[in-house]
Amino acid sequence: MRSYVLGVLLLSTSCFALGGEAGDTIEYPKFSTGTVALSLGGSIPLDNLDDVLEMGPLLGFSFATEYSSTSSIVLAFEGSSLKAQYLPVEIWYMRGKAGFAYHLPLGARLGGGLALSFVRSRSNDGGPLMLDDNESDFGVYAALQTPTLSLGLFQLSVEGSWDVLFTEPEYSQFASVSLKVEYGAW
Amino acid sequence: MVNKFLCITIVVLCAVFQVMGQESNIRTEYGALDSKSQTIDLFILQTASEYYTKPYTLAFPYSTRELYSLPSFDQFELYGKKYSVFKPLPQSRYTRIQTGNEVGDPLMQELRDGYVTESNRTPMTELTLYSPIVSGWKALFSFEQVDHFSAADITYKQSVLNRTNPTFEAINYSWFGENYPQYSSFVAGVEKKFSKGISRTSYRDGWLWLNLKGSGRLLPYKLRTAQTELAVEELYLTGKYHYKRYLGDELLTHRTSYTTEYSLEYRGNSINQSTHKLGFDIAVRGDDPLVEYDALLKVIPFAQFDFKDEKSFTLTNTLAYNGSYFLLRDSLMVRSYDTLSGAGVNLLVTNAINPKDDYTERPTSNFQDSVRMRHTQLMQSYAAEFYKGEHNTLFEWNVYTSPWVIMNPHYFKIDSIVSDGGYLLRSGGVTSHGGNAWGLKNRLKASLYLHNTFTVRGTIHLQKVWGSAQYSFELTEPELATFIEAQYHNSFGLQVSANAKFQTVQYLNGWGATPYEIAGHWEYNLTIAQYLYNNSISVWASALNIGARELKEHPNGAFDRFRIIVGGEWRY
Repeated sequence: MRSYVLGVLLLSTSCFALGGEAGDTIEYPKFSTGTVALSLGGSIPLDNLDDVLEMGPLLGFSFATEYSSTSSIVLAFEGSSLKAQYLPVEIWYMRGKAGFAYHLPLGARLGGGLALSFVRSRSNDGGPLMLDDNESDFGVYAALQTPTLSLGLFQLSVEGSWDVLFTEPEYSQFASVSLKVEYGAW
Repeated sequence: MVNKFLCITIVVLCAVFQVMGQESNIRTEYGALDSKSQTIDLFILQTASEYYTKPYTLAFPYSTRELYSLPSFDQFELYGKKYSVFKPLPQSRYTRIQTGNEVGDPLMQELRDGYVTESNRTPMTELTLYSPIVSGWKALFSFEQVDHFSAADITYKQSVLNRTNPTFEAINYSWFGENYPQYSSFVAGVEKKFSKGISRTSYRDGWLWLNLKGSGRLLPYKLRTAQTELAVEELYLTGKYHYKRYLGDELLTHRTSYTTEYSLEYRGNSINQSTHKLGFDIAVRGDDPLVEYDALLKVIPFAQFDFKDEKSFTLTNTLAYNGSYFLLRDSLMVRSYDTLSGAGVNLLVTNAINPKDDYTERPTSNFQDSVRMRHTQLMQSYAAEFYKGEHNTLFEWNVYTSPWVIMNPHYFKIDSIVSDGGYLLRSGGVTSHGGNAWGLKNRLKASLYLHNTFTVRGTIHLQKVWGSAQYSFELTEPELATFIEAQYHNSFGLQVSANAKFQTVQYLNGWGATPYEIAGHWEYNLTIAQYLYNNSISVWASALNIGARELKEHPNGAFDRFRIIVGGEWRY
């Protein structure tokens, strides 16, 4: 299962990365647009974490800039606080993401990339854990953003994301759904 | 972790991109591990500071540096390579930051299982800053700490520190973290260019875990080195100071030792491509409780004569005197460079290991034997080369075959192996085998340029070794090795590089009654890089040894794991 997940995500992100055409001359991206966004939503543990962690709130900040006429580069930072279901432990789950998003009609986006996750216990009454210190691991994500609704200077949309962390002995998976407010900075 | 699907995915990616340029663009932990992930070269990983590497094409089973360069006081190993404390300052100017991690920390999986089943995964960090040039001056600051591959021997490292100092050292032998990384140090330096020459000075401070050359004893060092170099026209004056403070296990206090080395060289260029070097080195050493040098003060006059005719001919002769014997090292390479097809001869005769650094490792309380690293006897190697190839705008191919023979090879003869809490130490010494080994190396190399943005390149090596001395070499090389690399770039400065490396079974010979088997395995590497502003800025993500299973390439070695590294660089 997990190799399937990793394979698909690697392939999909690589395909987004190929937004430009193969050509003799290189035209470096000019970053002619820049968008900042705030997300508010929830993180949902999936698969083997389904009955280990409870769903928790998510707060995110992201920046996107034009890469080619059909794609953007996205940098995002997200944080969640999650409670363990059967242990008196609560964790911080923070992640930084960098990836590409492919432009779909009506402002919708399909994207993916690399994520670096940091986890540490926020409160722990259940004995010593490795998570009492900062632990980090790499992973990948895929994200789909709905068509946007214009509200004056702001764009409103809903974003769903699927995160896979390359942990051992099994991969860890999360889904997140959030309301996203974008503002065109330039 | 075996990830067949992933492996297939990467191969498919290679095929899809049909990629590849003139050089490999896989980004690694800088310096040390480049040849592990970027080339087909042999690479046996023990730790980040201790590894064995040599080009496949070199017929003789020794590293290039040992065979063809002038030995030095701080840089010599019979079979392998170590972290060098006197690394040259980089020549181009850039600012670079990168960080990585071995993949597979448990994170939330710990809450699922209630305990941790996996050993810790460890990071790496590098930061290099180069100043702009201001009236001929430039300055460098560089910090590097590679914690990768440090989890396997962490318990042993703690036991070494514990038995030395029962109250346990407060420091963790690194600038930060608690992983006992193989090295953690910074270097600061300045360089000044003037009309007739250049001067460079640098200082390094940090910590290092390094194995002694013969026995393989692992020692923790507090490291301070200073290096200064002045070149005026053809005269080169170099001064090096190497301060070592380490914990020897029967010594309850820190012990210090130092080496200072001065050298004066005249590097002349005469007719054609030939160069010559004349000079002498002086080394002054502090008494070392673990190592007995043949003299604490050593003056070594040397002469080196290189003749290189660009078309076909390379001749290197080194003559040096170390107070008790002359070093004689002659190598000759004749090869027709100007065509893709041709023949060549390669010859090497040497009588000593390293006359600058011959010593005996002293016995210590838990290791009763001394280990001899002194040896002089003539070793002779001969190789012939034949190659044929063709190239046009679409493809290029080249076949190469080389029969070789090595007579009376230098090798490390084991008297006994002891286990120090699971960590193997060996006694014995460098000696000559007396027998011969001979072999045949074959290579097929092909490149396909489907478009100027797409290239695929592949190499296959086949070899066979015979003779009574064949198992005396530190490594029995794989009989089959293949390397496929692919590279693609798009019109927006994005570059995708991927490679796959396969080696059949290899044997490490010097570490037990029976050879240590390194099972045949694949290695996959991938780098996605984005170049910006005329290539002056680049950012990248590298996945190295993707899907690696837990393989130890050395009995005292680390797990060679899947690592991801991200970084950015600005060149100016």
